[in-house]
Amino acid sequence: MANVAPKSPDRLLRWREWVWRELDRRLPNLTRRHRNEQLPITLNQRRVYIVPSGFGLYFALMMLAILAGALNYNNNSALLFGLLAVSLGAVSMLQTFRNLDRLSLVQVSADPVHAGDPLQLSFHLRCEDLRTRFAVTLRFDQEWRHVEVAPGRITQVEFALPSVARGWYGPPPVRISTTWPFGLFHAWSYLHSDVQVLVYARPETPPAALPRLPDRGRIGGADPGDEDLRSLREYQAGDPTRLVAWKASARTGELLVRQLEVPHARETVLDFNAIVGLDLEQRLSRLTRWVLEAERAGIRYRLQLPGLNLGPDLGPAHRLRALKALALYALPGS
Amino acid sequence: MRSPVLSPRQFEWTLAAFVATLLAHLLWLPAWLGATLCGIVLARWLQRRAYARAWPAWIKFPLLLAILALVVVAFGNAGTRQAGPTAALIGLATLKLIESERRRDGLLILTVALFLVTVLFLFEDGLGVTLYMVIPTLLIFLALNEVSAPPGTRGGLATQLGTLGREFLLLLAVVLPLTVFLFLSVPRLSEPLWGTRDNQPLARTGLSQEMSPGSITELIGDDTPVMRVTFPERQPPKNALYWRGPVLWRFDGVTWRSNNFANPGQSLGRLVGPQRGASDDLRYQVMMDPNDRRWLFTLDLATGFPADSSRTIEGLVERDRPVTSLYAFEAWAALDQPVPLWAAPSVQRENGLQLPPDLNPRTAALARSWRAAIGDDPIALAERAMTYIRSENFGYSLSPPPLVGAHRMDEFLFETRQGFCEHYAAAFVVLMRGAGVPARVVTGYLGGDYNRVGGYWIVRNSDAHAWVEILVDGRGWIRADPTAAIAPERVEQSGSSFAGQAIGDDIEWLRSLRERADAARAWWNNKVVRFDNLSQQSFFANIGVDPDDWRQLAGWMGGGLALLGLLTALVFYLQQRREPEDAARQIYRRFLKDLERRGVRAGASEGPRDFARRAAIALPQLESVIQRFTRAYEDTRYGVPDDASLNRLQRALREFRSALAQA
Repeated sequence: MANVAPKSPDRLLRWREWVWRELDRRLPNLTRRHRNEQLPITLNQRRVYIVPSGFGLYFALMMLAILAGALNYNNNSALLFGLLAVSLGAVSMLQTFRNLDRLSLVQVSADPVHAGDPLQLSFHLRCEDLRTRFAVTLRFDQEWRHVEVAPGRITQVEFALPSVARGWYGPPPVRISTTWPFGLFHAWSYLHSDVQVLVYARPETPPAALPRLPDRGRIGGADPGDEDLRSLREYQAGDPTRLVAWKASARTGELLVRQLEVPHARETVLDFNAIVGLDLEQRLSRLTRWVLEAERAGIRYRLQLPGLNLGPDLGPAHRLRALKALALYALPGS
Repeated sequence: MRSPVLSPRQFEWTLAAFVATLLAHLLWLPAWLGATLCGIVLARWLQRRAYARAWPAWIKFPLLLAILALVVVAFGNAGTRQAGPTAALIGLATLKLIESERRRDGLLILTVALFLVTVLFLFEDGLGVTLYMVIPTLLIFLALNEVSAPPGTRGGLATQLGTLGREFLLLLAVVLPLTVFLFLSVPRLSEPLWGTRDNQPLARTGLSQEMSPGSITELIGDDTPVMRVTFPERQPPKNALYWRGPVLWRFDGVTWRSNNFANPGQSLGRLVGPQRGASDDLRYQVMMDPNDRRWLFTLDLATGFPADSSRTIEGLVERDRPVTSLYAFEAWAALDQPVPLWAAPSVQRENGLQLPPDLNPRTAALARSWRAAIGDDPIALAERAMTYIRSENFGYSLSPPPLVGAHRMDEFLFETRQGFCEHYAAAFVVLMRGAGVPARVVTGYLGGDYNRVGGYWIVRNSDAHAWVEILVDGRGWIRADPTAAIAPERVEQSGSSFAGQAIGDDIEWLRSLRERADAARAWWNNKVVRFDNLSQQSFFANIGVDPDDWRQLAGWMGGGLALLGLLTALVFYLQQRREPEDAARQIYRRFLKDLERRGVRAGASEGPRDFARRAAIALPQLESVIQRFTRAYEDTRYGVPDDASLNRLQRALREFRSALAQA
């Protein structure tokens, strides 16, 4: 590339731009894989590419040999069967294309997951006409699935992939291909939907204790002293040092803190700013865990993030709002 | 990515396609070689059913060597150009099968099988074989369909039962016209690019240059077609159809052999083709099946015959190379004209009098007595011999008592007196020669069957015949058929029907069916097998396209392909329009049928909900199941149908049915 226009990088840049523009115009499928599209995406002749497969090329050579032999020996029966095979092969190109044509990706769905858990992506395929699509292959993230798509119903193809970071996740394009019916031709296309999947923040493990508000009726009662010590638990970053049970820690070799059993109210506040000594992601992790814990224990909770205040409330809708807020907090573009 | 392991279904499809191809090749492979290959295939099939593993090298390599050795033994020095390599290829493909575990092996086997399908036609291209070959071809493509399907999916062209699926039938609807179009359009070569065009000689039956006891009986049991003949102008009487073959002169007491008069290279008395007969000669067209010999069987006297052939001094028309594929020619005959002494009269006369010395003394004595009584008039002597055969106690039999002694003609003429054309012709010649009349045996075919459907005569090996020619001064060799004296009906009937072998010829529909089948064979041979450079040119001339003008040719090709494209579009459109019944509707239909049996019939335009209400009133004890089923059905109709909702519907149907059974 440097040899093409060493003196004027501008020209090179313009040339590259022009190439991409032309490609975009003439071969939309090649560039389309870089763009997201709204569902449903229906395959058509402008999106499906088809080339002979390796086996197809070998088959063609074999057929050439057969036809040359038949013509040379003027053997019409051999020629007839050779031509029958050639015709079957040639028409199979149309069949291969039609095996993808008018096939739609109607939906990409995923159950929400927390970062680190496997993300189960489900691609929903549908025939737009009344033909069964045999032997269709989907490739996604270096994995293959082979399916048959029957007309009049949705066929789901599942892929699992690891989710890494919280926030919106746009799955990479899925490659759909087929060599049906005879393996002589290979047709393919890329389906790149604009579907975004929400990945929640990773819940902290092991879980930190849910902060509890003391029961209003008993405030000012017994001092939370050693008498109320019921159990010990492992130290977690952020625990106040005064709760460390030094003697017990020395005995077990692990840093233990006293867990206070205070009569609690059925409501709590999950405050971002109340967590100290942790970075942003760790705080979000802890809050996420607390949201899950509170939901599980049936304790109404309020989520306080800088600039955002949710609740107090309880239930799926509240949980969803809270997890979503935590997933998207302080991410660029959200 | 490593090629995936063949599933049992994929392996069995591959095996089926290969076996179907192999079966056709058993037609020409030596039986023991074919049996060996079939045994290997069978063993492989059973083994892979038990466990999917290739055979180990210590079995494979000895087998490989053994099969190659068998091929060398079978074809090593037979001078056959295509048989050896083809047999070796079949053997190698069979061995490939025993180590085929993965998809790429399967695909290789299938393409080799496709190659073998076409190679077969170098050996055999009759209509029956051709029709059969459709089966392996389709099986190969169905197997390709199965084998190329990725793991866990099916090919879809064949249904579970192995019959052709709708998709495949539609594919064929497009493919067959395309094949015919390409067949007509692919330019034929007027000259081969390499090698010669001769097909592989098979061990074919037919007349040979010898006649020993039993050689003609063998042919009479063989109804292989020799040729089909059309008389475009006038039909000759059946008893005039003496199709001339090799002429036999030398007799050693047992066997009759030909002379070297008519050997290739002998130019004496030879007339080189092409020749056209006179205007009042009988003109006819012959489509000859390959017989690997050079003789063209013609009627006497051959006055017109094609190029590349010549008429020998014996009156036999010979081609300059063997007839190894279907050969069509036109010929003329001056019927019943004797074969003149074109050259070497004294040599012919001398050879026509040869007899093995000191053999058959009683025959010789009989002949000498006639000579003494009648004189030297050949015609009178021949009539005397005919009278003798007719009046004495001779009989016609295809299974006569065997002649075993040294004096076989004596034995036949004076003791057994049972025989057929070869006996009578031989005895007649010996009698004539003994009486001093030059005579010779002519072999060939007599008559044939008229096919009313195709309007042609078919001559079969079973029409094989032997007759006699005697030399009459000033006229030439005149035909005398002693068989006609003992069994005149043989001359009027075809060989097989006279021998009582044409079972059912008197059953009209059976006979007509046979004629139709043979007419189809003749049509196929004429129109398809023999479609060559010349026929292609005349085809183009008929449709008004000049194949030498590239623009017209391009127009034909373009127009044809465009039409085929339209046909394809139409077929695909129809395929798309025809609504296959979806699963939910099928289940609903079963529900309707069950209720119909209970006397509740759905109206033509009645919705599922209205019908359910009505059915619940008619069968109140089933109300809940009917409602449940209908709701499940509506879910699949108006929601997004998926597996779960279909399963629910299926379950609802089961519930409904068990409730129905209890009610």
